[in-house]
Amino acid sequence: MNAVFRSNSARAMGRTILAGDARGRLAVIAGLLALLAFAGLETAGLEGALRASRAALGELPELRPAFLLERLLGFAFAAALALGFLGSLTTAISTLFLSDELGALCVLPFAHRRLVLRQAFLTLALASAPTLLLSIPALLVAAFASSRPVLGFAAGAVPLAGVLLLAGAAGLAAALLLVRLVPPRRARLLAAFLSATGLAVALVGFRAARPERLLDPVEALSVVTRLGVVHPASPGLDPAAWAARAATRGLLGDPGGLAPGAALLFAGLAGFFLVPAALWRLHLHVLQESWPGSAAPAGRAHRGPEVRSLGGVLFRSEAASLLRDASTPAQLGSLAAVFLLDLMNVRLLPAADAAQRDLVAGLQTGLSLFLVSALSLRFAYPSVSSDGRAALVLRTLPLDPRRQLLVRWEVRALPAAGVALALTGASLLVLRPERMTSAFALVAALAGGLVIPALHVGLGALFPRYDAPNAVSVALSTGGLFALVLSTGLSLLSTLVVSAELQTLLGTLLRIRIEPWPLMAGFLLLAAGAAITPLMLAGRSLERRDISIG
Amino acid sequence: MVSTPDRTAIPSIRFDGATKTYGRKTALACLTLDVPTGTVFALVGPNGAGKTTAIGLLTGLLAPTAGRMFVCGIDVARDPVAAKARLGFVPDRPYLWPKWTPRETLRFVGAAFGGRGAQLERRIDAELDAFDVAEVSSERNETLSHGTRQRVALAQAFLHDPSVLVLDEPMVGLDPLAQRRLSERLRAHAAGGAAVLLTTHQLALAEEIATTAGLLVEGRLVACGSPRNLETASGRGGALSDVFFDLARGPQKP
Repeated sequence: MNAVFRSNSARAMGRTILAGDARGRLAVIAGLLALLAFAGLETAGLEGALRASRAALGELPELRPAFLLERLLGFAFAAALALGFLGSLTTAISTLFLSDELGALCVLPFAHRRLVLRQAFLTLALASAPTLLLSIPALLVAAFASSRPVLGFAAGAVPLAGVLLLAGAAGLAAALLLVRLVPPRRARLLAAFLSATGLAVALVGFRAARPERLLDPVEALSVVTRLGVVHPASPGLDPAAWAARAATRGLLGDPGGLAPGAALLFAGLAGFFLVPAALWRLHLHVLQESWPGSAAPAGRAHRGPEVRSLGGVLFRSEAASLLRDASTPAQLGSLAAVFLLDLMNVRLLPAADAAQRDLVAGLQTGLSLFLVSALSLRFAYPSVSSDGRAALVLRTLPLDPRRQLLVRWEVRALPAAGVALALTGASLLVLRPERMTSAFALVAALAGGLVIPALHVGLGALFPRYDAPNAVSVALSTGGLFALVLSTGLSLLSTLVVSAELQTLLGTLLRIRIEPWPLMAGFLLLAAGAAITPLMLAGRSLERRDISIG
Repeated sequence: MVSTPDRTAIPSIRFDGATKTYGRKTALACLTLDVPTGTVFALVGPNGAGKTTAIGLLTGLLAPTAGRMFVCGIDVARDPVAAKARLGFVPDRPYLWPKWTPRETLRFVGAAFGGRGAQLERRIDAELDAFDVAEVSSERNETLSHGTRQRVALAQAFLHDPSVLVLDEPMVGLDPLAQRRLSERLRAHAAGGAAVLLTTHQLALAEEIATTAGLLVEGRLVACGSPRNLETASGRGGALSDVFFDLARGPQKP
């Protein structure tokens, strides 16, 4: 069965790459080239870092390279473990409970344990892909730098496989237990939020460790000396630490490093096979209880407020669509992390110079609006396309599409303006620039926060893709990228509007005098045009254009 | 392919007190029913009557709150693999792997039921022809129309010559000619020594092809018998649809 399944899937993938339309082929080729470029850049960066560290270590004989390497690998394996766990947790809920193909597979004569194992392998493959993409170039660079490349590669790859298997097994078990407590769709939202928050906490933690110290020679020497003189602690029960020790020994030419790596691999394999074997009954039970065709459990019916006005109903419906989007919790987690990181960075900037504060305030306003652009691309641009087949019904309702567009904008503009003002305001509190700069920054942030969602909603409605499989594919379409380019341009312009220093610089370059007030007025006029024009064009288009959904 | 035990000694399908509840709501209440070999059994009833729940219990997609289900005498809960090996199933919304072709889909399903090599290929060709999808057998499933997908799903269900065929609203999306062919095929399949259980809202269809019909209302089997007997027993004469409306509506309120 698996052989036929694998050969079918491989052929389907080949067809997608080779027999798709020209645009599809181009996208695949571009994707492959991007992967190669990423791997090439990572390899070049790692080789450069390796050369530099060898040169530096030559001048610091008191440091033990093995200690430094083990600590570095320990960090990398811990990251792989965390990434693998969070990835498996989120992916497993989809592959084990929400995948459409489960219905087709469940009625075939396979033992359920086998089905769970098959979905577990699929989960592992999907969840491990980002880690493998990052780690394979690193493994190759490390192996070629080792005195015994084959041993070095094996010493890195074997414990990495063990770590990924352990992370996958833990993620699978956690997913099964989580879905035992909450229904699968809610569990997926929860897992996505946990993943985003976990990554955000890791990023903030990394930032809080002040890696910028490594750019200061004195501090860097102190840090490296502390890490390179003292032997790393015993691994205990930490699989990442065991993997680091095994890989370090192997990379330094000691074949004995393979033994702990192999032990880790066997532990990972045992854990990975144990989870489906032990929990397949639980999976079957939960799957049967949550089967989409089954009647919903009796519960308290939530009636919601009574209809008082069409506007109220439209607003509530649109807000529900936005808030129930599966990506919203994860996006909020990521946004919170970016916000914290940004503030940590701003605090480090020199605050004594007024000119620098003015310039940074401008850049921060632009950055806030760029974040709003990214969020709008995901949540505002696909708002019309996400109607899918419901667009056919909407078209037949006695409802002015312009009114509905306006509601779509309101629902997205309010949080967007809030985000822009919060990000810019927090930066201003840290920077404390001139009053006028602060006022201009807040006005630009408010205007951008209101305008950018309008631009995205309008352009998304002008180029709707009702048959797209999901909102992300709509956002990444040519129209979506065009909207992002326009809103990024507006974000850049806001930087110039806020910063007097930039205005002076540009005026000098162009040999003209740039006045702040007319510039702000021009920005606001341009912003208003960028909001109103696409919305008006889209309103007309939605009313008149043919609609066809496959 | 799977060999079938003595098909005449035991009913091909048996529901023995099958019950499914969700909290306080009873989706199916103590359904006891035998479908003998050679029967085309139509389960009819209004929306939410429990038809899909009954099918879900028989195919193992749902676990019963109480009771047992048997396929060719095999307890679905105790030996699901052996029970499924005798089962062909067409859900109300069939899933076909979008990037695969119909032929690849049938090849996978055939292999899952133990088919191999040239014999399986011949069976696949025969079913693709029978359901008139040979011409699109190399197209991707995602490019097929709803009706064509339904025909591929039917070909997939017939592929291993199942002893028990379970179909949830099989006529949805089919054109009249395809409906007629499917009706004939279902009758022939049952006559060849299998049992067919189908749910439908099309009472005319049930009347035309079913040897036995059962009416489910609010999770209870309120009437069961040949369409002709049901019509006679209702005391009104008329068609099965009249019986359906009488029983589904329940006692008339004054």
